[in-house]
Amino acid sequence: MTRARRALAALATLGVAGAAAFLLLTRPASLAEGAVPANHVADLRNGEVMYHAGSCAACHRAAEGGPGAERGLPAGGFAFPTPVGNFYPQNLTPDPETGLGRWSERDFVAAMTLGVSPAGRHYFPAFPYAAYRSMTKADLLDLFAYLRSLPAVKAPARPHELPLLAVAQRGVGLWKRLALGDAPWSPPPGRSPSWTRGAYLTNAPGHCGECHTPKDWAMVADESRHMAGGPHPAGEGKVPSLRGLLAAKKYKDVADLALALSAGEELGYENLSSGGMAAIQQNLARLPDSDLQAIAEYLLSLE
Amino acid sequence: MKLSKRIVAAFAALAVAGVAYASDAYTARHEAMEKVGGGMGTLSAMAKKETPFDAAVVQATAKTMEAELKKAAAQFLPDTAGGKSRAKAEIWTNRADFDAMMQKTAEALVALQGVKDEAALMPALRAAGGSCRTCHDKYRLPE
Repeated sequence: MTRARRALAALATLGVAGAAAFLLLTRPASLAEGAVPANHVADLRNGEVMYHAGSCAACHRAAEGGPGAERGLPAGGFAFPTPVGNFYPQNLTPDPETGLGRWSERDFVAAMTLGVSPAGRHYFPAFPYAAYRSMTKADLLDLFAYLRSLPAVKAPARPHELPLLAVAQRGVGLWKRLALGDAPWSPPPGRSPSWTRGAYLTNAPGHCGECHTPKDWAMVADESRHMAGGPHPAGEGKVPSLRGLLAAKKYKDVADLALALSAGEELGYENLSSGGMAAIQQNLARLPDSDLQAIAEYLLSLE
Repeated sequence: MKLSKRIVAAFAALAVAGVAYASDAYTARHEAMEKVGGGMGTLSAMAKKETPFDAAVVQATAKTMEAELKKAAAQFLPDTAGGKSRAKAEIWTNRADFDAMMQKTAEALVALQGVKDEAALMPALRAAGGSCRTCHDKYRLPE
């Protein structure tokens, strides 16, 4: 009897210690003092470029027929399917109750660079802060200002359809230890301004690697296979490699790929239509031509 | 014994016929769609001014594309998803929407046949191609 009691007590102690360790290891980070520059003068035009470069509207689009859908506003509600369940990205319009209306610049920078919500909870990495954390502060603040300039739409978020939602959400802290351990990415020095711009747009706001770079066992991007393609994250089919596009004769030159990004299947570039790429291509089509040329120059340099 | 053999043979024949039915439908619509894509290549080269504008070629090419698209549309028969096919199952659960999209694309190809001058080619082609994209986005699996 006493032995059984002792065993029970030991088990309970272990359980408490395990839970404490889990909570400690998964504690959401907070932004350092001075991480957000004060008195930033927002450039709405640049914010709009970032909005389209990041294809925010592709995942945060309104549900079909839902609030904001007819105006193409990022009110959330459209399902983001993954093999573990459906995510419902949040309303990005400035509605105070259901959108970003009450967010501060600091809240936004913390969400985009740490993947932590204003309430101090982890965002699931379906929201690609692993890439966005490499954006410049100026671009982040311009993007925030642009989102705040959109018409407000009241659209309450649908809860994600995931098993063990609360535990899984806290557990994201463990994933962050693996995925966000290194310093944020920055473009390698010594390349042309256009290539450097293309590399930045592709890897930071564009987050192309989220699908085009395969992930390892822990769902962390395997950078040794940067942009080498892999299984489609939604579960069926493949994501093509973006390496060696010239050698594979997928595109003739920079101008050809820039046109493909701008026109997509409207001019017969049919491999840009499936697997979610159609929405991304149509967002990229709204970038200045110089940015599309820059992205094309960078992508065609990947061997 | 004889009877059971016959039953087995009958089931085997049915299974073979079933597979042949699905793969015939897939092959037929795939080949037709490849021809639509081929026409798109011809006309986009012309729109990009890589080849000279020729209204007769536009008309004939767009007419072929329309006919091939209709051939393909008729081959999305029940239970012919899977295998090499990139057709999403939603085609059969949202059949009315899929058919309406096919119809809209066919109409865009009819409009393309009416292009008489070079300036009108680009917008008419992009309208038709955009219609292809909308449907591929919704109803075609990634490779």
